[in-house]
Amino acid sequence: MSGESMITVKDLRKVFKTKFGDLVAVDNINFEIRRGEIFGLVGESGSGKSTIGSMIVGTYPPTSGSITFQDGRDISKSYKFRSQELKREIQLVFQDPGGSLNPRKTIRQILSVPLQLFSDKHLSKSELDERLEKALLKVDLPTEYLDKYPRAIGGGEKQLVCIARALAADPSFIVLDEPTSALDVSIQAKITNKLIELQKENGISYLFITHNLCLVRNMCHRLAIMYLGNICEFAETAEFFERPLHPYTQMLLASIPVVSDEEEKLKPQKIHSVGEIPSPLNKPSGCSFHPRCPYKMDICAEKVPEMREITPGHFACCHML
Amino acid sequence: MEDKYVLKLNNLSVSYKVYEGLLKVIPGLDMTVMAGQRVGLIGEAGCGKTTVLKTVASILQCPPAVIKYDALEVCGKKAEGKAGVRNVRKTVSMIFQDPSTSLNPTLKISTQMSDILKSQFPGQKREDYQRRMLESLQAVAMPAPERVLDSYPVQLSGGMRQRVCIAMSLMKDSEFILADEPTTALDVTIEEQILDLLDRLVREKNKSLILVSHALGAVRKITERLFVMYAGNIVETGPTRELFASPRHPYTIGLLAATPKLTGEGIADGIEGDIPSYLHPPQGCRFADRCPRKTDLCLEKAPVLEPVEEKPGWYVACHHAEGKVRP
Amino acid sequence: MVNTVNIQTVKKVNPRAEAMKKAWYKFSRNPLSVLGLVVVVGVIFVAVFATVLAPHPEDAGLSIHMTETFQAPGLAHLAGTDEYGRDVFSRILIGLRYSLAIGLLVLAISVPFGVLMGLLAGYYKGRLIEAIIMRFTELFMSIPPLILAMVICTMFSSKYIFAAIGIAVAWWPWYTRITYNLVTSLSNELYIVYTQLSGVKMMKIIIQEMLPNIMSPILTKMSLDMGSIIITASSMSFVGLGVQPPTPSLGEMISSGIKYLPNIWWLTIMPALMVVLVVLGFNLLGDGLSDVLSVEEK
Repeated sequence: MSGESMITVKDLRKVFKTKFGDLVAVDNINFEIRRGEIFGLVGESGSGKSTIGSMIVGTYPPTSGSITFQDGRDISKSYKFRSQELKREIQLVFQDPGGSLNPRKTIRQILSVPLQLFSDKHLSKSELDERLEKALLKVDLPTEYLDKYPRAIGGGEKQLVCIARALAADPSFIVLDEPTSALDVSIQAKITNKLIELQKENGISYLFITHNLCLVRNMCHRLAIMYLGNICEFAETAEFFERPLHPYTQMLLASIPVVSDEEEKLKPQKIHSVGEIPSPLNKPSGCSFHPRCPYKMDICAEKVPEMREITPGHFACCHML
Repeated sequence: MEDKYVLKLNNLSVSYKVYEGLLKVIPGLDMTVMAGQRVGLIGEAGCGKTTVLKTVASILQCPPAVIKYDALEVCGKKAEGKAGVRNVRKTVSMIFQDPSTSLNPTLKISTQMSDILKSQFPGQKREDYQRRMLESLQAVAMPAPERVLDSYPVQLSGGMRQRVCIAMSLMKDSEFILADEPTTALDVTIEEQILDLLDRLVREKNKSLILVSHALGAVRKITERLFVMYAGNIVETGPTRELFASPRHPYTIGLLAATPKLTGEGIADGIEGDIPSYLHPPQGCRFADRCPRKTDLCLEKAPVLEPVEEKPGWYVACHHAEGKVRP
Repeated sequence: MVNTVNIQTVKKVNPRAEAMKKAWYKFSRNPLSVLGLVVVVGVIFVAVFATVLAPHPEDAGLSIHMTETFQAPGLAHLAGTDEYGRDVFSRILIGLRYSLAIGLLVLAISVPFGVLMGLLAGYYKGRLIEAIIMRFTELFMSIPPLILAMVICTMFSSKYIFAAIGIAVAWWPWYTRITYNLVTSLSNELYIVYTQLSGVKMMKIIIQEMLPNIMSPILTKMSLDMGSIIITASSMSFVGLGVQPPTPSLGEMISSGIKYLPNIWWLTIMPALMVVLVVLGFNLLGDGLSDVLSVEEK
């Protein structure tokens, strides 16, 4: 893995205007995704993890802060102001495979869209057919699937079609927004392994957005944990699972329902899940985790803790550390 | 107490009528749950676990479903005729997956809860109802129960809604709780709290529980006995933790291997293939098509549940499972 | 090489044909939908061959049979005769033809225009054009269609064709509204979001991705509307707009027969029954279509 940067996010902030007031979806986000890396972004609902993904693909622009792509191209703008080349390079796979395929189109029609859109010349029918078959082959689907409608195939296969559609653009970076959370375990395993394999083959980078820490453990090189719009911990995967620092990440780890005694031993034992996740509209003062934190101190309610490097490459944001 | 059971289900078969013909989802299924037992039912989407649960609660719509069984007894009540079905429905409590749709969005929590109380314990004073509602909300560790009673479902978070649902299911004086994926829609830290709560309540009041889920970890956490379902059949059943530690059926083995683990050893490649069509289910073992141990025997003869050696209460339905008692 | 390709194409199950078969199965499960279809097909058949089927086709015009006035329904005259001795049954069949034609004409004008306006409003979302179209739509929707149609009809001419134009003017806003709403809700669907993010042109998204999803609710609404349009047209004939005597239309027949109630009931009740039958048929068919055309997961 080279140290070359793929995506650099600096001081990112996104505020949504709602009728109940301003909703700060994410704030003070800094991280960098390297070339050829799978970067995990983990958080529960309301943590803002999908908001970050949406800003990287350009669904909407950030309120402030910047996102830069590779050699410094500024991409902190919405898709309307991005070049076609940029749209090709950054692709997206959604959580819900059923909803991301047009129910009235065959797989052939669905996959033709990116193939024709991002091809430098007009494709003849035979060229298109050839590329369509190649695209399906990449995700191990038989070519008969080209003439099926999405409703005729299973959930896992739909997600494979979505992945094939993203790959058809020949991207260098893919945002995966909970790609397997709607799927069964045995299918999830297949898709996850396929994603890892494709990443190695093509040297692309992923931003893997998920709530499933177990998946991140087996898939990502580095990860960031988010809580209510802020990153609270940031580390290499192995290091993180060995030494989780932030009280919230410890609580998160302790909450995972596991399937074996070996895993049980790896979970932090001292901490238990308490309290509700507050609404992002009504964030607690200071450190937003303090109402649920067992180690709460007076300063936590007053001052927002800063992100500090605790050990090399392992950052956390807590007054206690 | 010893051999008192809350559920006895013999030779259940369920089919659905559809355009293509008859979907033979459940060919023949036996299930027994003892009083005070916490049972987990796991399986992937489309394996028929919800069908089983709905049959037990007698809330399956027929048609399109066609249900046949030799015996269905829930808490000593036979589900025969309209009266029997009504009795069974009254006896069990159900908790559903999505707490936002199982509560009526247009009614206050207090109205919905008191409606249940009024049907269960008619003719009491308003204050008594109020007291009972507060008690049951306190029992599920609800913060500020008075305020919750005065709220509409949208004003509560997902976790709080599920607490309300659990509180409502506990208000019914039933000894048998059926939970259908109760924590699937919730966040991890909230899921932990709800599972702990469910576990504590069921133990304290000595109720019986069937927890249906595709989340293996959740089932392992709060149940003592496990049923593994595949394509309408129970393929393995036994004590939960031991079964998780050394599964015998190739499907259970594959399923566990495919589950991503905290230890980070990588994920096995899942199980190739798909659940067979219920329209023309295979004659032999329904898992044979995806099974690494498949032989000709598997294609000819469907395996039945057979005891596993020296493991009381552990059964596996596979011609080639290890440690099976050979007749 | 060519041969193998051919064999493959022959073997392949046509997904569209399979979907049609399945849709028909679903449709045929509901006896009411099938009844609707039978009624609609029957009514259309009768309307097309009205002059052949009618026992006294000449009675559609100004023929007078003084010996046969006001005969009650019987074997000679299935629906009786009117004040000029004309066969009411024949007049109903021919009147049906005009009523159906007016319905089709109204739909042919209002649906393409309304849908186009809805698509434009959806395309120019957030811009002035959207606001103009939608405010106009609301303006037209706030006036009862019958009154608007009557005003337009009296302004120009009471001719048959202007009655249809008048009703169409009152009818299009509903199609604009439904199309606009569909475009708006489809915009949030992930497959549309994907095409937007990939840089597909909005016009192309609307035509290629959205239109196929919009067609089925529109089709359903068309079938349901057919009944209402026929009633509206009948009401207009009732006050003397649209089809003019002696040409029969269902509404005109009811209105001219009403003065003979209650003794000579068949002059009003018989055409009214035909209106009920037509409206019911199209409504049942519309309900069935809406069941079948909604896409669902397996």
